[in-house]
Amino acid sequence: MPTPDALIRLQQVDKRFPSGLQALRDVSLAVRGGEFVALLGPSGCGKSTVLRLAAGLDTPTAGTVQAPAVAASGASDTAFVFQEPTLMPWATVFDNVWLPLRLQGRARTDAAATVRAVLARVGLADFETAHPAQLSGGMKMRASIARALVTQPQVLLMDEPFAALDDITRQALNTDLLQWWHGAGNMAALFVTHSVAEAVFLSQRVLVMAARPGRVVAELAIDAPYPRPAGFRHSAAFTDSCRQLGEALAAAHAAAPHAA
Amino acid sequence: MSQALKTWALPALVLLGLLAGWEALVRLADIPAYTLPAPSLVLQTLVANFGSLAGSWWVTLKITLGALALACAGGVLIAAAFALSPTLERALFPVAVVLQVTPIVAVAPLILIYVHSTTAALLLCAWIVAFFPILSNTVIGLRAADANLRDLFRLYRATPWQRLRLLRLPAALPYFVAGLKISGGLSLIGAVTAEMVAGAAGRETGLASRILEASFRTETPKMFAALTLLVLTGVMIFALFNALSRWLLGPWHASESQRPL
Repeated sequence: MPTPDALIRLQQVDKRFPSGLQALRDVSLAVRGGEFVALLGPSGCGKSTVLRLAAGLDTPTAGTVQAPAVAASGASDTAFVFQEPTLMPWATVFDNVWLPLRLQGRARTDAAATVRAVLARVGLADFETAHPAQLSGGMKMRASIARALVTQPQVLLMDEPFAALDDITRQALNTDLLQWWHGAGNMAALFVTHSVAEAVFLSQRVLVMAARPGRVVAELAIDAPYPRPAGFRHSAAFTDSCRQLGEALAAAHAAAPHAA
Repeated sequence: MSQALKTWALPALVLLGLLAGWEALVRLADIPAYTLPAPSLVLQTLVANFGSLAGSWWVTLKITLGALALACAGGVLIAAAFALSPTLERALFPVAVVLQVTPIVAVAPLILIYVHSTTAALLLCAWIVAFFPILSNTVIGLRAADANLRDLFRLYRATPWQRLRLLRLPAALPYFVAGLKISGGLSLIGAVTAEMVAGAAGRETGLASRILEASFRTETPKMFAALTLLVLTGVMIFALFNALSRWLLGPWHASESQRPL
């Protein structure tokens, strides 16, 4: 499956931790610019490890990882959104979102217009002087995504960012996330989730992973065009995709040697 | 109103009650002043001797606050150096521990022999007692930054200096403030202990020397008057750092949250 314009490419990647745990075995995947890909699987299947490899936060035991974050010059081309909002509690919303630019050496006054524009886009324009403790869970996650978008990255890596949120907030953020991703032009998004519905709603392609050792066992294209209205969740195509992914997950689970 | 009552009126009432009980006990049991002076007599003595006691108070206060300032600077700088160089930490931390576990009363006589200036010797003694809580707390705090935030700084390729200034130092602040609250009390104890050992040496004498001096003359009310000033100093330092903690950590840290636990 040659994808010459891939931004992220993992080839036959193995990852074994010093504890001896084999987190990934023979994982190959590619994500192109402008593509939204979901990594779906149960907890402990190595989804997060794939993201950390793509972010250059970990190195593979075998195989190759190509990504902007691994390249020598790509400091600000990759953004990472963690499962927790991961905001600096001592800093205001503005200062948190300013951080990536600040680390590049951009002064506050110089970066202010960019930071405010991103805050307005995620709906936090009125909260720039608030501290994270004063925000709701959904707002904290919006601030976290604003921080990721502020550098206009080529690659957006997201590790179950909405897992801790209630369903209503989660669906609103899913709809908004697609808008932000679409507005960012050619940005590639790799989104880790254990929710089948979330994977189908967001992505163009879903990679299904199985655990022990973590590997990609199935791939499904979601053909629905963007923008996807909230009503997409009630369409026959949506239900059908969810069913197929559910079956793929169940098959992988049944085939696992130590199914728990 | 009920909140103000709880925070101020109640402790004040308890304190007044204790003083009244003390006064009553001395008067009713006819305890002589050289054994236990009544609070009213202590207050009279304090007012009558305030001119000379205030001078000594200023000496003790200078040593205490000076040692505390040096403990802050030393503790934070050494902790930051440890944070940037684990080798340095392995090499020097045992020395800091040795300084901490050596009883100050036992080393103070040596320090007074080796260091010519009494003021410098007193400062050094108080510093030795006060700097360790700040050092050890700040060292822990500098390592306490959230793991995901560390990854984020790595992803954006922050320099070691940026990591220290923007991540590790702010994350260490609550730990530093906790150390400061301990060291504030300890620096006073260190200053008083060193003064006790130094006796009435030097031209300027602090409150501890005045207590010693008064005890030689069995001027118990004067001992209590000097002691009262020491207690007030300790309470002042405590209140000061509580206010500082609220100002620094109030907007964001759980330790200063107003919500009930």
